[in-house]
Amino acid sequence: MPSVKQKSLEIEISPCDGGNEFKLSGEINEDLIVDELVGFKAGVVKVDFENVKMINSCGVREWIKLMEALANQGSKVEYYNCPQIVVQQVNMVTGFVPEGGSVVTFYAPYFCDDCEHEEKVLLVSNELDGREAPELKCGKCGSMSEIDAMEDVYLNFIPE
Amino acid sequence: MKINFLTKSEDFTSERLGSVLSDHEVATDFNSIGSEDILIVDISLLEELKEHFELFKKHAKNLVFVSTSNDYNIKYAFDILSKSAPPYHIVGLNSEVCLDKVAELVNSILSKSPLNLSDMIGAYKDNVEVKIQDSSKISETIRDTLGQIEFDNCFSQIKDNLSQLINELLYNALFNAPTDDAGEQQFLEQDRKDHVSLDEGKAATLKIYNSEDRVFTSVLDHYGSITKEVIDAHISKNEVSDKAGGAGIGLNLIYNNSHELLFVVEPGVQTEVISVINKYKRFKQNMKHVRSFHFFIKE
Repeated sequence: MPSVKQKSLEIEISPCDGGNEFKLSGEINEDLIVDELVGFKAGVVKVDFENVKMINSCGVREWIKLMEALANQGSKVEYYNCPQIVVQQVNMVTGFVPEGGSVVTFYAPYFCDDCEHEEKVLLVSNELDGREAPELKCGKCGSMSEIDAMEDVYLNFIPE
Repeated sequence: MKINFLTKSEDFTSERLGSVLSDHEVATDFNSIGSEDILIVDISLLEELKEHFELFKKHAKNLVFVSTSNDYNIKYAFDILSKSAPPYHIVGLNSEVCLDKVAELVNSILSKSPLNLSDMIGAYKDNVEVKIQDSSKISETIRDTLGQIEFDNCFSQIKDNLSQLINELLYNALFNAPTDDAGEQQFLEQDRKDHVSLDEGKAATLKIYNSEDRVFTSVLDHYGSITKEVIDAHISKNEVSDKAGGAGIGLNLIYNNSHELLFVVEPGVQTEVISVINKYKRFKQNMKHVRSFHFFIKE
């Protein structure tokens, strides 16, 4: 499994059905070198954001350049395991998800009113009823907990 | 000199404002406005007040926009005001806090004394303070600094939000703020991959105060070069720039991660940017909090 080690970000690249999976660890910032991540076999690129700890504005710019380069080589991009900081960019910055790309899974904060337990729950975009997040069982006390975000803002990236 | 207040809110009335500004006359129209008068405008009236934008522009520094509804989109206000009368002061929240905040701000404008960190933190003095000269140390400094602070009783995302906020503030202080003897920005177009190092006396200062209910972050540079025009052009920008230098969306990230954001600029001397985040237990409350904004020029 090839691994691209950059200054602030490590990218493990492995083949997957129809293309490649990019597993990211670290920070997406100005040190992202786009050229090292293009040129792989075109097809689907599954990006796993699970271990992305930080993203700054220069990182957003480099990321958009990478997405444009992947689109130019004919790749279709899918985002997985997006933490809140990535969801924020998805909703806020034009082009963060490239044309034809999608957010497949993402984390959402959930809060239980009964025991005040907060947890990050992985949601699957196409299992939601539009921009409505389901109530789920609290991981601590078993009561029902609800999404701890303004749904129309946090789930804005999901088509209505 | 009087205070002119226009609102259609049933909660946030001129009578209530008058009760916290008892030393001043509070009027409710725009007739015969004196040059030193203060205007307070309910931001939800903006669409109806477009004919007054020239007046707003003339009184910009004495004009306070107040958001009396949690539902109102402040970014929309920035967008519609940006071309004609970009705001110097917006106060969010429809509550007693808002009323007190407006009173505090009015007194600050009248006394020509900008709101400042010392008054905001009050008696609370426990803080982390660090100087930063070298941009290559920014990430490490943020990790170390935030690693020292416990954010109890607060939505867990606050650490990631603060990390992003401080990162953007420090990059602005080290790359955008420095000017040469001719007043030209030294590193504005420099590739952010190439690091910069400032003289010791010009190092930026980061301070974080973590009180029971709020987190105050201050970044001070020794240049005082940021202008209102730059802020107006970038604070609601959500498209990255192709130009050399910064990506152009950093100020938007800073604003979005703050509940109150203050710029206090002493031209040619220093800029202090102060961000305040309320420590809500729920992330939803954090999202709902209307963002306040202030720009002061220290004369």
